[in-house]
Amino acid sequence: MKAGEGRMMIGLEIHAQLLTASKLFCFCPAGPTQSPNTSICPVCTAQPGAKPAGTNARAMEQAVRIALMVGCTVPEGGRVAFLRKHYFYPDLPNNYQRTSTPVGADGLFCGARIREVHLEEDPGRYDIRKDKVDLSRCGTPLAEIVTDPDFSTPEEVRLFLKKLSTVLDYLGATRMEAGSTRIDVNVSTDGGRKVEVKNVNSFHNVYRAIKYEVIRQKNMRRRGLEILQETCHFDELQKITISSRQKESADDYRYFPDPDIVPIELSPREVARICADLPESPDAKAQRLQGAFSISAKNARALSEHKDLAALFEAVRPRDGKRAEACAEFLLNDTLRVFNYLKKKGLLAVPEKLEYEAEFFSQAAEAVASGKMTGKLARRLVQARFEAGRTGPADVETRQVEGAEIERAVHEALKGQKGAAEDYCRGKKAAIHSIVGEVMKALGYRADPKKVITVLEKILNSKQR
Amino acid sequence: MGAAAGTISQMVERAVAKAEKLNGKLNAFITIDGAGALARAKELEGQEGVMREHGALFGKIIAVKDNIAVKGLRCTASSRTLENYVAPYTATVIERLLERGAIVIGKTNMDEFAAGGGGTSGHFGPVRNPYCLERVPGGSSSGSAVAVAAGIVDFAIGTDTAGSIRAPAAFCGLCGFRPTWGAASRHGLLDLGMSMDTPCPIARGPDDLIAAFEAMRGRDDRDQSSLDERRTSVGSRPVLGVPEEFFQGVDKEVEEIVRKAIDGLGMETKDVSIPSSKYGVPVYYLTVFAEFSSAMQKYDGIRYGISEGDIYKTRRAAFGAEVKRRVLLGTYITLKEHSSRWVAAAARVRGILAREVDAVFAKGADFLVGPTMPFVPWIHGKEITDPLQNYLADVLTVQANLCGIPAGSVPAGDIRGLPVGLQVHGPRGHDDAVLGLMKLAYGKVGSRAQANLKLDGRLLSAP
Ligand SMILES: [Zn+2]
Repeated sequence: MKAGEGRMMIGLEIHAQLLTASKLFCFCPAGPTQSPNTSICPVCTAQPGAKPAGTNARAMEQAVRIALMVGCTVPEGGRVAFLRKHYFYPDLPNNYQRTSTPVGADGLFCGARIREVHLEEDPGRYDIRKDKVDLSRCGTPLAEIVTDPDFSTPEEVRLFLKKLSTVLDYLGATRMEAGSTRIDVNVSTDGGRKVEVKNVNSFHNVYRAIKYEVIRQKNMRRRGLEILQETCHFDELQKITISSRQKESADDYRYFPDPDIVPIELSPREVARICADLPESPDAKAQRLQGAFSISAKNARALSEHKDLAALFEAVRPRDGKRAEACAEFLLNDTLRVFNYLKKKGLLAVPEKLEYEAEFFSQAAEAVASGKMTGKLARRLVQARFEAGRTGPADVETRQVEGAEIERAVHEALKGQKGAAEDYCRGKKAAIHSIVGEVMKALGYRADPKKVITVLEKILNSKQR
Repeated sequence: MGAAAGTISQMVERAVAKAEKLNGKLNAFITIDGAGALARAKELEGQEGVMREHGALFGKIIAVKDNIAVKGLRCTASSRTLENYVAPYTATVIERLLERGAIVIGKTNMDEFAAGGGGTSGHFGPVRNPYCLERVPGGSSSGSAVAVAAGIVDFAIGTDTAGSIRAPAAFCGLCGFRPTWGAASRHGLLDLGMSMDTPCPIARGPDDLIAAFEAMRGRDDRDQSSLDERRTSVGSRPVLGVPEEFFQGVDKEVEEIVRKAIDGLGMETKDVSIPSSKYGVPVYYLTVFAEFSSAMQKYDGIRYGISEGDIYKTRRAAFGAEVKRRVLLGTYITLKEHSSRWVAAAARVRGILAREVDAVFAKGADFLVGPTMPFVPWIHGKEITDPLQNYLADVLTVQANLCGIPAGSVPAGDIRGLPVGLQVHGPRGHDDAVLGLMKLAYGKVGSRAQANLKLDGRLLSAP
C-alpha cells in the first residue's frame, strides 16, 4: 500500500429470498408471478385489522441452515423475535418491515466475519416511473446475511460471493431467479465516511459497483475532496453508483417488538436436527472427490463448485483414475456449457434420481475422450436429456432404444444421408457424425450413441466391401 | 325480541326500522345494512331445517363495532381516514358468528380507532346514552352497547383494549365480557394496542353473552396469538378477592352499590392488595401509545382515505385530536433515544403487575371483584374541559388488559337512573369461570338492577 492511500474497508448485507412454498406471515404462494398483484391477501397487503398468521416454519429452518453453513451459532436460548422497522415507502404497505433478531451470529466464512443472519419480509415492488406498486413479492421470506467490513478489495468480495453462492446452491435454500438476491455494500477508507450502495441486484454487479466506488473515492481523495456519508444505488446501464441521499445521522427506524408475533424458541434438539441434515461443504466435497477418485485438485474443486455436476460425477462412480478424469472433463466442459445455457433459459431440469444418467455419462465421456464422438453431438445429447419439456428424462430412463430398432433407424437415416455415407466410404471418417446425429434425432435421442456408431460402422463397412 | 317472534325476515325488518328510527337520537350506527340483513334472513329461512339443529345463534340479530372487518361493509373505525374504506374480508370472530346463524344488521359508532372512553371522539359524532341522552354511553364500544340497551339487537360485538366493552356495559346497564387475550382471534380487528386488544360480546343477559363467546372462541390459523385454552380449576366454593385499590378514588355512592352487590352474591370474600395497580394507567398509556403509533403508520394518505398533498398535512386533516395526541406521543417514546426509558420501563412494570395479580390468584382468591367504573356516566362535553376524565375512566379496567386476563361487567344497580356496573376478573384462561360468575351475579343482582332502568323518555316518542 502506498503512503497516503487508505485501506479500503468493505462490508456486505446480502438479502436472499428463501425457497418456501408460501410467504413469511400469510398463506399466499411465494415466488415469481405472471402478472402484478396476483399473489396477495389481506395480510400481505396490510388491510386494516389483518394479522400475521404466524412465522413460516420452513423459512425459519432455511435461515437457520444458512446461518449454520456460514459458521454462525444460534443465539443462547434459541429465542428469535420479530421487530418492526418503521419507514415510509410505497412498496411497504404497513410502512414498517418485520425483521427478526439474529437466528445465528458470530460466524466466519471465507475469511470474513459474519456478524449475523436474520429473517425478514421482502417489500413489494415499486415502479417509480409508472408510480405503480406490485405487492405479489411483499411478504416473501428473506435471509439477511451481514458481514463485518472485512474485505479490502473488490476481488476478495467476488471470491466470497462466489463461495457463498455455491453454499446457497448446496443448501437449495434460496431462490435462483434473477433479482431474488439483493446486496447492500458499504465502502469506506481509513478514517473516511461510510458510503452505502443499496440494492445491487446481482453478485456480478457487486464487483462492478465496488470497483467503481473504489476508484471514485480514490479520485476524490487525490483531489482533496471530502467523502461524505451517503447512500447511493448502482446504475446497471451506466455501471456507476449514483448518490440518492446524504446521511447526516443514522436513521431512526423506531425498532419495536411486534406485538402480533409470538417469538419462536428454537430448541437445542431442533437445532441439532437441522445441523445433522446439513449438506457437506463444498471444500469437504472437493477434498473427498480428489481422494476417492484420484482426480486432479483443479477438477475436484471445479466439480465441487457445481452441485449438479458433482452429483452426476458421483452417480457415474468412474472405476479408475483415467476414466474419472475423462468424466470430470466431460462434465466440466461439455455438460457445464449445456447446463449454463439451459439455466439461462430457465429450462434446466435435473431429475432427482441420477443413477439412470450414470450409464450415459460414463459412455459419453469415454466416447468423447477417445474421439469416437464429437463434443457437439455429446452436448446435443446432454441437452436432450436435461431440457425441460423436451424428451423428458423419464422417457430416456425407461424407454432406451436397442438393437433392431437402432438398425431400422440407421437404414432409414442412410436413405437421406447418401452423400455423407459416400464420404465415409471414401475415407472421410468424420462424416459418420452427421449420420449419427440424424439417427439420434429420429430416435428422440433415446439410443446410446456408442451403439448407434457400432451399428452404423458395421453397415457402412459391409457396404464398402 | 324473541317474544315478538314472527319470521326471521320480519324480525330483521323490525330491527332495521328501529335502528333507523332511533339513530337520529342515539347515533349508535355508522352503517345500517337493511338490504344485506334482509337478504341474509331470507337465506337463513331457506336453511331453517339444518340451521335449527346446528346454528346455536340461529336468527340472532347482531351489530358489529366499526373497527371489525365485515366483508362488503364500510369499516371506518369512526375515522375520516377510513370514511370510504370497504372491508375486503371478514374478521374470524364474525365469520364464526355468521356460521352459526347470526345476522349482522349494521356497524356501530365508536371512539375514533377505539382511542377513547366516552364514545364522543368519532368522526361521525358522539353516541348518546339511552337512559339519559345528555350523558355519554361509555366507550369505546359505544354504539354496540347502545344498540343492545335500546333493544335494537340481541347482542353486539365490540372490542376491549383498556375497558372498551366493560365501560359501556357498566354505563348502559348491560353484561359485557372481555376474554383472555388470545382466547378469541383478533384477525380482522383494527389495531389499537395489539398486545391488549380483544374482540368481545355485549348483551343484556349472560346467556346471549355465553352463546356468542362460545362461537367466537378458539384457535385461528390467521392469528398466531390465538389459543384453544380452556381452564377449569375453580373450586366448588370459590372465594372473591376484593382489592382495596379497586375502591380508591371511587365515587362513594358507586362504592356503596358495588359492595352491596358483592354481599348479595352470598360468597366468601377476602381482602387482597395489588400495590402496583396504581401504575396501571401510566403503563397502559405508554404501551398503547407505542403500539398504536406503529399500527397507524400505514395511514399515510397514499393507501387510505384522504390525501392533502404531503403526509404531514394528510395526517393533520385525517385524524381527530385524541388519535393525533396518541400517535405523536407514541412516535416520541419509540424514538431510539427514548425507547429504553419509556417503552422498556413500561414493559417491566407491566410484568411486575402481572406477577402481583397472579400471586393474588395463587393465594386463595378465585376471582377479583370491584366496580367497573369509578363514577356514573358523565355529561357530554365534560371530557373536553377535563381531558383527564377519559384517562381516569380506565383506572379500574386496564389491569385486565395489561395482564391479559378475562374480565366482565354485570349491572349492579343505579344512582338516580344512571347504571352502575360490578366488575369481575378471573385468572388467565378461566373464561368459563368468569362467565359462570357473571351468570350467577346477573341472577342474584343484575337482572333486578337492569329491570329498574328506564330508557330516556325522548326515545319512546315518535321522531
Ligand atoms: Zn398474503
